[in-house]
Amino acid sequence: MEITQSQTGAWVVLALAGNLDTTGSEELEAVLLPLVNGSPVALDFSGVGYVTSAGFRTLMIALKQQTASQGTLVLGGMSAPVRRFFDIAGLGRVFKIVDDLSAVVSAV
Amino acid sequence: MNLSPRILSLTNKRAELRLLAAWVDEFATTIDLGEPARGELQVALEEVASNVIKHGYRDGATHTFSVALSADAEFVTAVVTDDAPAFDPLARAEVDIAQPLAERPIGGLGIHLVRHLMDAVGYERSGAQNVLTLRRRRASTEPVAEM
Repeated sequence: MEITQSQTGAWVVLALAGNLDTTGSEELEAVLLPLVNGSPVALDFSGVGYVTSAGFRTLMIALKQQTASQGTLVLGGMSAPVRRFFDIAGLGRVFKIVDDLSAVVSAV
Repeated sequence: MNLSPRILSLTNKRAELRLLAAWVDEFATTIDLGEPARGELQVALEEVASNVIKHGYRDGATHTFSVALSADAEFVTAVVTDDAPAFDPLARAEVDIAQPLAERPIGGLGIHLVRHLMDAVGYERSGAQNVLTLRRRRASTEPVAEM
C-alpha cells in the first residue's frame, strides 16, 4: 500500500493507494496509529480497491484510539464497491464516511 | 467459456497471503472479471486463507494447503483444501454487527464477510481434508442496503 501524508490546516490527510488487506493494513497501522492522538485525521480511500477484516481491524483500533483522545477520524473518496464492504461489515455508520473529503478538510 | 481449474499451493505462513492476492488478481484478469466481483473474491479468499494460516494448524510445523480457481460463463468458483483438523468455519455463529463498537469482538468479521460477499459457500470434511467451496456470480449484484 502506498500512503501519502499531507497537512491541511489542523488536518492530517493520508491518501491510500492499494488494498487494505493483511499486508496493506500492517503498513497503514504503522503510519496511522502514531497520528491518531486527538488531531483530526482524514483517510482518502479514492485509491483503495478492497478492504478485508484485517483492514477493518486496523481502522477500528485507530477509531477507538482517536475517540479516546476526543479526536476526529474521517474517511472519504470511496468507490461504490469499497463502500459496500463497509456496509456489509456493519461499519458504514460506525465510521464517519463522507463523499467529498476536501469539503470537510478545507472547512476547518 | 469454461476454464479448467488453476491450483495454487500455499504454506501456512502469513507472507503467503501476498502471493495469493497476486495470483487471484492474475486469474481475474485472465477471465476478465470486473468489479465488484473481483475485489469481493479477493477479500473472501484472503479471509479463508488467513483463517487456515492463523488457526488451522496447532503443531507449529509447516503445512501446505491449496486454492483452486475455475470459472464458467456465470460463476467463479474457488475451492480451498487443507489437511488441518476438522473445522467448519460456517458453523460459527453469525457476528452481531449491530453491537456497539466497543463491545464488538474484533474477530469473526472475516467469515461474516465471506458469507455475505459470496453467492454460495459450502463446507465439507472429505477424508482428512477440510474443503471449503466459494461461488461468486461474475455479474454485478445490487448494492446492499445499509445494515
